[in-house]
Amino acid sequence: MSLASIIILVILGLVGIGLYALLITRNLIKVVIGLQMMVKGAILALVLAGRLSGQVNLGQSLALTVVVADTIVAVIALALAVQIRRHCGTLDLNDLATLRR
Amino acid sequence: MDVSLLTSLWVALPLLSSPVIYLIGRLTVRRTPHKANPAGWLAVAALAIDAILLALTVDANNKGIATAFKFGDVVMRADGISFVLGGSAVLLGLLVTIFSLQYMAGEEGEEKYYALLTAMIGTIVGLGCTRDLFNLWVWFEAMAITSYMLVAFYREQPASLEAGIKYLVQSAVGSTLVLLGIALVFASTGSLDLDHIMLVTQSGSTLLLAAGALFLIGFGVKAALVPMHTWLPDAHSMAPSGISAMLSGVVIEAGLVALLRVMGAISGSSLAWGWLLLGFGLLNMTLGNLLALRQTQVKRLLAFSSISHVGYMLVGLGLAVTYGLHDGAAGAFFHLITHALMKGLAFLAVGALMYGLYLANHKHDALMVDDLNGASKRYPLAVFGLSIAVLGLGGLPPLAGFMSKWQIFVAGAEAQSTAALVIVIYMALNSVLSLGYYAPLVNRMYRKEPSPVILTGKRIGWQISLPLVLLTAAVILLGVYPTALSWLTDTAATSLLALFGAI
Amino acid sequence: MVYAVGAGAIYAAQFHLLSHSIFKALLFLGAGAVIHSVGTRDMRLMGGLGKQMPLVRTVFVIGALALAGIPILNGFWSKELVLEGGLANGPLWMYILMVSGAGLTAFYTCRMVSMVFFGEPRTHLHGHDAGTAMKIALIPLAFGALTSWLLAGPFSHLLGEESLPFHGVHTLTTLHILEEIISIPTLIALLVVALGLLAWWQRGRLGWMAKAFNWLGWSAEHSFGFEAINHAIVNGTQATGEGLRVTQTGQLNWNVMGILIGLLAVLATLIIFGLGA
Repeated sequence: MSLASIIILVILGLVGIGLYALLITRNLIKVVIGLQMMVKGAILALVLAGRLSGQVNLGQSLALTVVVADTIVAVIALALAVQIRRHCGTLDLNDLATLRR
Repeated sequence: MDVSLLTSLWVALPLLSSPVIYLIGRLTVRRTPHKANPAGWLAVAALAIDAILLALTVDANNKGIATAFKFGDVVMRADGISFVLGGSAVLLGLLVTIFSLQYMAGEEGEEKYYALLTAMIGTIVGLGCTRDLFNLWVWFEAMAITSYMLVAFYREQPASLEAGIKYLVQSAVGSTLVLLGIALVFASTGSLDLDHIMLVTQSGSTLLLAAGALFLIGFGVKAALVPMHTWLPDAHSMAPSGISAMLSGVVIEAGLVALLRVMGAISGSSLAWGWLLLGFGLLNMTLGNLLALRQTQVKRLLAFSSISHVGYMLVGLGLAVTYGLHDGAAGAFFHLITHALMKGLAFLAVGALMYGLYLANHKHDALMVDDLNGASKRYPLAVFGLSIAVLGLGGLPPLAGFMSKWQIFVAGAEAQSTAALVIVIYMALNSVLSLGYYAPLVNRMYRKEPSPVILTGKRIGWQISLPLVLLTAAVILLGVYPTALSWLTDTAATSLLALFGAI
Repeated sequence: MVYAVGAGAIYAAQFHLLSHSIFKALLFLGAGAVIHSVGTRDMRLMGGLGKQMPLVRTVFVIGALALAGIPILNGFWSKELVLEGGLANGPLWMYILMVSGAGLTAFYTCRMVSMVFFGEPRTHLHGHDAGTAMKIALIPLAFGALTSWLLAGPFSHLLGEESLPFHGVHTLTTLHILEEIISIPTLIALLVVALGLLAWWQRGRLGWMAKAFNWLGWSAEHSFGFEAINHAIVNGTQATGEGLRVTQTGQLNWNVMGILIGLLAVLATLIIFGLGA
């Protein structure tokens, strides 16, 4: 098994687990963690793509940019979670389903 | 002035002014907590200058013929699509900022609101001009980040927080899918430049098809394609009204433009893209209209109607891509502009009523359809604006919405195929269906007895009235002179067909 | 009118449009005056109104006769022109259909006028006479219905030279046109119209026929079922809209599921249809 195919498996695993977490967990913090796992898979995919197309530097700089953007998203998500805990008193997604229909 | 510098300034000004607005606003509030916050006026000034820059840029760029310019070290390109999207963002943004001067007055963290709003406008303008796949994602993500914070701006309100987190999670999943798609394209072509990608992807490959699907879904979350639309009604109904107007008027369309740009680059890989756009268009129209039919909250109703209007644009674009029809694209871009005006007007008018009925009394209740009963007695201007907006959205001549829908219908007839004709007839039926929920609103506002909540409503000031008057006039005038913007929509259509390699 | 255009008789169609615009305006305004006066739209509740509003009755009768195509009123001339154009250039069965239509028109017009203005009052409804403004509007129209056919020549001139030069409308004098109208087909048409009137006159004896057409009357009363279909569509759509609201669960997990479903659907579509490029 080549390095590339191992990394592809890792990417699929990360994205798959992240998506699965988003589909089944009810805890908001775990949802954010699932989101992070998906993005980490995508970052790995960018690095791998850079390597496969022979542009390692470009691939890595893309990955770094994504890390920055992704961190901001994570920070906002966690800040929202804190506010939700404060004002709604819960982090359970079942209780966060008041906007519907 | 040099065209390149001028265009860069147009893109950069909102982005540069955003931190300045925040700092000055914040410092003033610290020093003199009881004085009015200057952030709003600063934002108005910045956007007004940007609107002037927009006019100069359009003029310098031969009215939208694609021109490359250097934004720092990055090469970007302003074409017809950039001006349709960027122009809508700046002009609607300016009106929303003026509107917010009263609507947001005295809210905690007012300076954040204005700083984020100008930043969001800047990122949308930049998004329209990019020609690099990864830069497109960066602009897109920056726009998304500003919009998350704006949707959850009322951070004491549980409902607004809930809408914010849902929007964030769904949108973030979408942009992760886009990243995976970028990785696939990058791996198979070794390039990120959209023009170059288009040149080297003239044959189909499984990797590119998968990338295309990821783009369609990833950007589709932002553009509210069904079934990725579920965040939209929550976010649009819970955001401050000015932000609802921006989200509905330009942000979902920005998702659409981003989608078109990347899809154009990989369009050589399959013939199915145009049909996929048509399919999503029909789905959006149907579901949006049916769900709007029985809504009881006004802003939620308008949000579902946005879903259906994205459907009209998608059908116009799908016709353009599938049959190479210039008119389909021109109609879709015209509808993008008229929808920005009409939906902007609708949300601002509803915001005006919400302000008068609830916010001025320090309440955060949602505006229900029943609250509109007899509102014309006390708020004639806002009610007239809302009526014009919803009737225009329903496609009643001679308002702007009729003209743009009509242009899409004409494109369908030009396609000279049975499928396109069936689609056009279906669209027309959907327009009739949409009147089923727009017309009762108007009836309710003018003909019913005022509800008690109307009678206790507060007055609204000129800051709220002025944008309403301007937008109402624009919706009516564009209906009477629909050709006034055809120079822009035609160049945008040419740009689109160029993106898809049809020219 | 559409019939005439189809048969190539452009001038006839335009001329009928002119006549029609005059006498139909007269009839609608007259009907408006009546409705305004008695406060109902149901003809079955009216009757004997001629005594109360003599002027409206007179002009309405003029309009109705024009609509029925009775000679010397403008409807007669233009309708005959249409029918003749149709006979000359269209299929025969269509002509027969149109002529029977003309007879039917004469029949229902008569019924309407007699129901509203003549006979005994059916209910206690008492109309006041129309106001002066209404009368002022009605009189010129009645005059027009009586005389506008005299303009046939100038009208053809106007059309032929200025408005529709590409349709080969010949410019003719009024007299010429009127001569052309008076011919055998005209007599046939007049005969049918007279039959229609006769049918109204002798309606008591045509009871069997009325019974035969009862179902038609019934379905006309129920809008030929369109009303019911309309109701079904509206209610069905509303119910679908209400039912679909369940899909907006508000659950974040479901929303993410929507994204996944969308992705899978697009991938499936591409696998099935997309590889053929």
